[in-house]
Amino acid sequence: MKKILPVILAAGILPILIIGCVLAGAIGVGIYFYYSPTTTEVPTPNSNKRPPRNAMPGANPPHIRNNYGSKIIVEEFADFECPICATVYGEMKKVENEFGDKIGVVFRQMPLTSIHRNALNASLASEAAGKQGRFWEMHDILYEKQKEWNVFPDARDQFARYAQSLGLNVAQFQNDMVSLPLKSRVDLDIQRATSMGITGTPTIFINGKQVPVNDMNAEGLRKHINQAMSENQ
Amino acid sequence: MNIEQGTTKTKVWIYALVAVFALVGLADATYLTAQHLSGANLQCSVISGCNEVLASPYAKIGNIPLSGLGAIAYFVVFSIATLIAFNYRGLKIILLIIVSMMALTSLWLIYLQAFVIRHFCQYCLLSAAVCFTLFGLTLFARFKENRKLA
Repeated sequence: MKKILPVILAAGILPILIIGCVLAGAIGVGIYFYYSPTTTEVPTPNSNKRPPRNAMPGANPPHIRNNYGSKIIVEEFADFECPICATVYGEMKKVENEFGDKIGVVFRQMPLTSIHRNALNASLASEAAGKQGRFWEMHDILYEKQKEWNVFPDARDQFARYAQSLGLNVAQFQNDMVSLPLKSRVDLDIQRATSMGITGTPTIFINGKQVPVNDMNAEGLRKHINQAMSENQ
Repeated sequence: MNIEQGTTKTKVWIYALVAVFALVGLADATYLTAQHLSGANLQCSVISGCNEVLASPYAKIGNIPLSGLGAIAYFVVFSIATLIAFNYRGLKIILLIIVSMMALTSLWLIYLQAFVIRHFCQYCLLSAAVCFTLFGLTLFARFKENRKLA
């Protein structure tokens, strides 16, 4: 080393060596973090694997928009307080408008209660609205007004106001929000998510095949729906 | 040790510091780029929480993650600072231009986080702090060199 260093210094290649080592190190670190799993037992966010055959069924009947008889079913696991879900909601709207009754959209409750203080109540609010036949209207309001209600430590009063704006029986809505049957529906959807190894929201499946997270936008969803349609012909 | 040697030593230390801070920025940006490409930022999860900033449309230009461009910029700054510390000439102005652009970009990104997205990303704030430090160090080095010439 004592003999080599002066030669390297004289040749002026030491800085080039340093820069080369840093470049190699940066690439190595990048590759390590790219493949670093967030958990050991769930599909990576970018997988497009199918869920296991023993997946729990979830709440029955599920909340489904558009044509139930459609061959293409888009199943979304989401949390109403998740800001990324609110963004994907906008993308899903575009896709639903384009495809109309060619696709059925199923919503599954997956409130991340450990990080979102109002998520469970938001899920229950949507279920309570659903009991009066207005699930999807409440679903849309909760996403569109997310920034309005997620500032409150307890947003139940806000949800009651939304119920009123939808013309619901508010007293019944509030009672239903704390009822066991609706809590069970949410729990069943969470069990389905857990049995399928889902840990993040939103997670979307099209005919049982998970959409990679990088494709959870209008363009990506369109691509996967068209692919599912061509597979079903 | 005469004034020239002292000045040269100061120059080496300043640019070595620039290189070290650029390494910190490079590590930060490389991590964010890997997370972006793996899709880990595009979901809320109980493990990593939600990152509104990194999942926002402002986190990329087209399909290229902004953190990737940042990683390239940090690597260039590191390389130039290393070469200057080893007495390669003619690169100081280029370094100043690059760190100035990085500092301006950081100001813009802080504005977006504060007033548009209304959430902050800790890794982004770290990167901004590094950019401002690089800008400050580079300016300081230029100031020392101009004093020597005067």
